Amino acid sequence: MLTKMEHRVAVIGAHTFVPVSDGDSAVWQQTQKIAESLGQASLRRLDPLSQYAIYAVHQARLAAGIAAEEHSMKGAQCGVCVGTALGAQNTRIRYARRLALHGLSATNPIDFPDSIDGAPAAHIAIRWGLQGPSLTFADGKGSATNALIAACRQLATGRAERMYVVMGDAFDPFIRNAMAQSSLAPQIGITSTSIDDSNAFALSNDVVLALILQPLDDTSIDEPPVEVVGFLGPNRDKLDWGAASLFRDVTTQNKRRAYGDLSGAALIAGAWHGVAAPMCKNGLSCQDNAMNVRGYRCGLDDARFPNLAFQRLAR
Amino acid sequence: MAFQPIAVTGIGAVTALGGNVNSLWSGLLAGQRPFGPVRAFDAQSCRVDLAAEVSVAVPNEGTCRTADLAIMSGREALADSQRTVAADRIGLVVASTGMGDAALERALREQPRDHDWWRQCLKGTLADELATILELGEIRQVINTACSSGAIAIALACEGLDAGDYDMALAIGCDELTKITYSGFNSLRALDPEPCKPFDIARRGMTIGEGSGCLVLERLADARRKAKRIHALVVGAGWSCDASHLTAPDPGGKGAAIAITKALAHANVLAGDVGFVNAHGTGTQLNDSAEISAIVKALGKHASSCKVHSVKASTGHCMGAAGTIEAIVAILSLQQGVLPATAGLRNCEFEGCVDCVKLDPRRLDKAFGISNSFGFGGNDATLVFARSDSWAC
Repeated sequence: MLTKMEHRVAVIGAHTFVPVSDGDSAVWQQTQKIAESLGQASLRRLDPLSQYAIYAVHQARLAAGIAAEEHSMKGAQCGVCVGTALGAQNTRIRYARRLALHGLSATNPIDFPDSIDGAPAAHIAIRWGLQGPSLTFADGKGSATNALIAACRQLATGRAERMYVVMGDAFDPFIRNAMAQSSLAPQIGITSTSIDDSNAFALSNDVVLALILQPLDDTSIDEPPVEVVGFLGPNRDKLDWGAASLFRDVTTQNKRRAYGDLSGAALIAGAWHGVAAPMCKNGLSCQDNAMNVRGYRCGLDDARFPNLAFQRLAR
Repeated sequence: MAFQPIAVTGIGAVTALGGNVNSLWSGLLAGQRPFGPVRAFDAQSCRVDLAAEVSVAVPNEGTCRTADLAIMSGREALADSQRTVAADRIGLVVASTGMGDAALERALREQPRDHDWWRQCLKGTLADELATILELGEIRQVINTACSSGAIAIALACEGLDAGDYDMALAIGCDELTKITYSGFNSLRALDPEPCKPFDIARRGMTIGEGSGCLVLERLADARRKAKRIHALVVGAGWSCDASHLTAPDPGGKGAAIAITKALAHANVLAGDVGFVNAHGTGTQLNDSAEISAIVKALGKHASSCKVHSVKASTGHCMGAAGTIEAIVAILSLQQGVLPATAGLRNCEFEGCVDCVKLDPRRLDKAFGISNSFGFGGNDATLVFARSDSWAC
């Protein structure tokens, strides 16, 4: 059953950031690019997830046409929701490795706070002066969708007038290797674009998506390109995962999949760019009539995560 | 926009004071301070070797101690509430800051051949495990807003009930004492070499604890219709971000004041009606002074007569569990009409600003109380609780 949201929410800015194709050198180049574009060499000291998150929000703000000085005016009414399966895992592992090698008294006091799951949200809040809600979901596969729903709810309940939503993960090689060698191994690196692989589960490139949300009835919005219109309840029929994965591959030019269930966010980002997903095999996920994209975020093969519904508004 | 009043129909707690809610409450009233040298690992190389660990036997049902603590508090809370809702209509919101750390430490140390260890590093795994063992439904969330996580979990569960996502919710905060957490606060020089002394002139830092708190929540109308025993009500919640520093609070308590003010407005409760503040009260110089500034800002002329206490002087700082354990104490305070003193508090730095409760428990006569939780990243959260007889449906 689709529950229509009482207060409708517009996506006013979006950015999809895929920092790496393959290899550490590409990661480093991307990191340099971020630091240079944001004008702060100190960014390079942050966990990669924090860097990517800041960069994606920066780009989404540009896409939304938010003036650089505006954050100081609306800070108390702006918040951030982050959904991440792994959190600031790179820094956490660096911290834990030093602890394992050198003992409890040899750890780095700078790494410790930067290694918490909430660090990316904190850095975004600090950078743009967001004093509204600051929430980080670390649900594994449900992280991204729960972050999106929570952000919509902050707007609907009047707790915020604008929400930045960041979803994604940055993999540490130690975790990536363990995942690759664990029971997930046969499904790693799936590049098939067939929708028949709907039960497949794979990873693992770094991907971060940022969306900026506002209530649709905010008079300052001229042309809200995408609207989140409701949630599919948790007791819905099984939806298809394959089309979402395929769509994400198309929209991000990423031949692998991301962890943290980014499908909903990727679909919305796709709608933002005016690209529709192909029909999936049960016909539920998306349809495209050129100017009006309606989509349902496709779920995993269990029913525990509520789904999102959204549409691209006619311009 | 307020959510409808939410009834707390079950509570469960595991802390250094004992393995259930009764031991928590009686220990607080008696001013116990069950702190001692760290037993979970060798911390003698650290500046400080002191913690508030759970000493009662914790059944080994989950894949880690954090899960075991959560299961223990969850079972107590569910038994207290009595399950009247089908499993698929029960939501679960879990708060944890360090779940997975022990597995990560072990993997780095032992390089295990079984590569599935990475699953135990994910907090989502904890929620899956709790839902299975406690026989709950499939709707679950895991929140990590550092040390405010427990309070945020309660607030999100209330929002979920209000929105009709489920008909009963468990908000569980849980964290075991891990090397990562302990060494982190040690490296930040945030630990007091002696048992922590929140609000005292001589305070020098926090004492880390471990534990779990669980609240069973239902919409008030549903709970009354089922004639359930109601411990107290959650009537409002507010949260904000300092947006100033990753570890240090805003010195003037600006963000925390916003959270308190938002929570009271959300609950439609006046500052003068607040009988007490269950403070975050870690015992660090910066946190305590920032929090008192926030209380004064938010409550105005009523602050000086408002009773303030800190539970952490007896339980230690239980990280992701702190917000839920302290919420349970706030609920019991309203229920019993008594506010435990802050153990170890002798010379309060903030006399005249607020009414810090020291030495002996004090009687309560007002129907509302608030519980503050703050965390790294400038995360601030405040919950407003009401006596169960204070609210008409």
